[in-house]
Amino acid sequence: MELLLAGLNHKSGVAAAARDNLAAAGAAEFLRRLREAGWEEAVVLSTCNRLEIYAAAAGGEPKERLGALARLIEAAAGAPVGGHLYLRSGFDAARHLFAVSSGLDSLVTGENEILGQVKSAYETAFAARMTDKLTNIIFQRAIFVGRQARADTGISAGQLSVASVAAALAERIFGTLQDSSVLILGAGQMAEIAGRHLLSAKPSRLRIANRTFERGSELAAALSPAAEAVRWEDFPALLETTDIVLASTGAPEPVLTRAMVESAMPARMGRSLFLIDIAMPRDIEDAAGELDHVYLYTLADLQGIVDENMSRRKKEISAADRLVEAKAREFADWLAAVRAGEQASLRHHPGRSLRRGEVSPGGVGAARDGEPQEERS
Amino acid sequence: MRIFLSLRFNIGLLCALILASAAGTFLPQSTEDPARVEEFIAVHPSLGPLFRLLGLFDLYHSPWFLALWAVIVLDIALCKLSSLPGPASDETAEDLEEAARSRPLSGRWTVPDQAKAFAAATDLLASLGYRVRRLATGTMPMASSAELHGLQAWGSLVAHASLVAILAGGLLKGLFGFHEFVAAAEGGTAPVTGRPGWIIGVTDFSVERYEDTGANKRFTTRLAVYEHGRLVEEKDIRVNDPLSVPGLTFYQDSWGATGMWRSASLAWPDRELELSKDGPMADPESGARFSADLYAADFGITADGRPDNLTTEPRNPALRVTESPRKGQARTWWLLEREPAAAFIEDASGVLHEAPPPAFRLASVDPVLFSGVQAVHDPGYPLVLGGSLAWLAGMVLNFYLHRRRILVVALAQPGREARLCVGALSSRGPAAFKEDFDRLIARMREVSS
Amino acid sequence: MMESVLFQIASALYVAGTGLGFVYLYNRDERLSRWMHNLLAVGVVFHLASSGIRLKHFWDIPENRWYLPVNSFFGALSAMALAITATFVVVEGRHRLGILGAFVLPWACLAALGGVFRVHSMGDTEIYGLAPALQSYWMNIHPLVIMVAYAVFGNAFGVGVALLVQERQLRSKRPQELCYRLPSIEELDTLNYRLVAAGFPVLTVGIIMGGIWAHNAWGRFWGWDAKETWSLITALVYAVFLHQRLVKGWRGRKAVYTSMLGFACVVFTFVGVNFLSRLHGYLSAR
Repeated sequence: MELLLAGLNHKSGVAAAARDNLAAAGAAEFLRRLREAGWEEAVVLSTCNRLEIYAAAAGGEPKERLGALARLIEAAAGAPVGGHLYLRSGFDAARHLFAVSSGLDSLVTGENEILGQVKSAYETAFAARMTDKLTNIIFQRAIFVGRQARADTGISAGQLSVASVAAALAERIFGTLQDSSVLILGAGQMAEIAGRHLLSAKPSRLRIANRTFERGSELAAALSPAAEAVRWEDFPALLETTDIVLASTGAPEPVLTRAMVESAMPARMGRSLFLIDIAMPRDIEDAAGELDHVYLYTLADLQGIVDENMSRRKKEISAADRLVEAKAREFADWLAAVRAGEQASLRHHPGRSLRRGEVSPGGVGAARDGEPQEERS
Repeated sequence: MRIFLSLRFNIGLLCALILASAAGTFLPQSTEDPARVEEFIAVHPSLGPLFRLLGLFDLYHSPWFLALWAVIVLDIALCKLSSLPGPASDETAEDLEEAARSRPLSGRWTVPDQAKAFAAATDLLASLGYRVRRLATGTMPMASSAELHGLQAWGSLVAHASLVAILAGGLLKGLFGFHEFVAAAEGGTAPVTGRPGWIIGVTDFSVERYEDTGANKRFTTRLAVYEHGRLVEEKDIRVNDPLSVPGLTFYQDSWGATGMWRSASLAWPDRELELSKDGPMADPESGARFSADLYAADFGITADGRPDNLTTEPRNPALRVTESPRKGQARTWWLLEREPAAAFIEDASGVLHEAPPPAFRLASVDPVLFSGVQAVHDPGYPLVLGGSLAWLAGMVLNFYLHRRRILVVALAQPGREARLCVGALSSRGPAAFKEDFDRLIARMREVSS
Repeated sequence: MMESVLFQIASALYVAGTGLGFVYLYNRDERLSRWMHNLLAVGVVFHLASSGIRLKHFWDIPENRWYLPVNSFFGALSAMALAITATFVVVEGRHRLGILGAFVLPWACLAALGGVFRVHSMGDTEIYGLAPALQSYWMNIHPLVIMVAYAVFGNAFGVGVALLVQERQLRSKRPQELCYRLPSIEELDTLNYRLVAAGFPVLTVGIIMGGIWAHNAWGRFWGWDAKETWSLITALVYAVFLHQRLVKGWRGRKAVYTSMLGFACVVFTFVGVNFLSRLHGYLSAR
């Protein structure tokens, strides 16, 4: 028994038309074709950035069987993709799958969504009764390795978009945003993107103040029924009951001054105030951030953190690579032992508890809106 | 008046109290150790008198320290009277819906019928133990304020009042009570000067010590209390086990040796001689006569060479023995019970001279002990005790009860759907109430639709 | 003998657990936190065994029967270390706040190591007969209540340090990973307040109990003894904190400074006053 892999990904340089065709076919269709072609055990990972078929070959020359898989993909693509395909077997195939589930093969290193996609690819195959001993074990193992790589190394640490960094910082200040109320200044595109992102954390209140009230109302209506538009001239008073201010107006001068914040602070009874200024030119006076309990982050600050996170993830790649390599070796050894007819079991740690804030078994890949995710299907 | 209510002033007062109290622990206090106060003044000739003038050597009883307490009491009274627990300020707000929504926890949803939903919501709160109070708003909007564990609001008042009570108890003791150290020797009596006509008698006194460390294990006084010669009460007292008679309590405080002895004996290598308090005893062998008068529990020598008793604890017991040989001059010895090799001769002027030890040594001496008793009249103590219990109650109310206040507002504006708006405050902050509140809102939504 | 050996093993385990707590600050490996918890829990078991033996020897002196062996400095340090660690193990186990270990546990270590030092300088674990004033049922209540308060304040102090670190992180505009590991500002602030609010009544009631005991033993409720005075100062400092927080709404850094000053007073009352007080002096060894 041998594990085979035939696939294409974003690095493969396939023509757009062929990619579209493959994406349109979908995993279920591939599984159907595989079954028709006599395959009994296969899992198809199909996202907008990759199409990979993992199959178990019970007999025959691996090269031949891989050729069969390649032809199947080519047929679906409707164009010659042969040169771009990667064909792997055994240890190499396992290592590739573990690297994929760990997010090492993604455009954005360590992104979370791919793990969920691996899981659902496996579930789809399982539902189609196309899995057996080998695929069951390798995919459960892949999901586990994906989690471990994220937990034990920093490859998925830190947010990679300005909006998600802002939301993460807000959580470092308020714990949960569910008791926090958000005030958005401005109703432009940036305000909308950031607003959507903050809404996904379910703040207790979201208010929008815009110079033209109507435009604010439109944005409020577009964002969520819970969002409210307020009059521009009222916003300084609202600072008393707001926890997060997101400023993104087109004003040439700062609209939120230190004096405004200062006069609102006593009524806040010491509760922190998080000011996010993503406007260019700036909307919030720098001096406002010097006040006690006030935390001011500008677009440049947030972008700096994004860049830092990005490079930090890159630094962790080698550690994650080592992990993937070791786990793939373990798997290959096990496979060899099984093949040798021995009864050996793969060491598995099902009881390993998940860390808080980490992906849960049911919610793998439940990534936040706005986080750049490569593998959006 | 305003200044008393400002927190800055209050905290300033507390800080003054903190600093003053701390200073007292670093400066010698005449109530604890007068000798060290004198020493301090001698070492700091310029600061010393100034400190004495400021009362820093009896800081805790100095007029300005007591005045500080008085200001604190006044301050507590003013602050608490000016802010008795009452309705939350937003309950009288013009826009009640906004008031509810501005509370740290809030929820809002549409309902089919304003009055029915409002009744259902308030009934639910009442069934959960909340005290529900209808706010006078007419029919539009309908609003109620509900409160659970409202007693919490009184905790602070109770605690502050109890503090005043404890301080008042202390004041009562200072004004009308007294605290007096009375010492009497075994078998002796001593008057209680604070209560003319009252006398205590130490019928018996015993002390036990731990063998390994020699520290006190237990000391017991058989104490008799007489009022104008009439026995009021007699009881064994120990530390932690005082004797109380109406208006006066006697506490075992300390004990020590007097300058008297009860029995003593001298020893030669081959014989012993029991001394008598009544007169000289003759040694049959040598014919010399021996008598003893003074006992020193903790023998020492002063700088000018005279005998001294350092403490009342029998650390180095010594006895003054006069030896009158048949022929020749009488000699006055100081003999040490624990160090037979050392002996001193006291000359006529009272100065000691080291001397080779005589043929006899001090074999044993049993001193007459005294028992020190604190006689206390403390009319303020019941107040202190009551205040303490009230403080406990105040603390429990204030910090361990979880008060929740919920403002329920039902609106039905023409042209809009009727809606219910609920806002909550918690004495422990929103986070502590969040889960319960969410559950409450879920049930309220259910019953109001 | 056995007692001090077990105590030293427990102390070593506490120190090792605390070390892991520090490593865990900068390393996200969950095993560190688990091992920290395990080491501490085993340490507590050893400590309890040691305390059991201590109690047996202590009760061999008839006058000491049924009283707690906290009449010596070692006894007090040992009880203190046990109280802080046990509190932390329980709280950490329930709320998964292992990240706070590095901030709270050093106090338990200090108390335990102080005990070890004391054992070595005194040569034994200081089992003395109780002085007459201490032979009272209050002996089992007053020190215990006060120590519970101290342990709670020690935890509050650790939380306060964590808050200062977190605030610095956020103000730096370049938060390190530590920032994402620590609880949020508001959570830490609330926790700090809740701990002080839980400890303050315990402390003050403990002080009052001491007053009632003093009244029973010596005929005075309050005598301005250095330890009494410093415990009052401690309570006053925390009272200032509570007023700042509840009335004025002080939070965050400034409030934490007050709460930390309170704990400094606790430490001084526990250790420093031994050199000033006649009645409560563990170190003046009566």
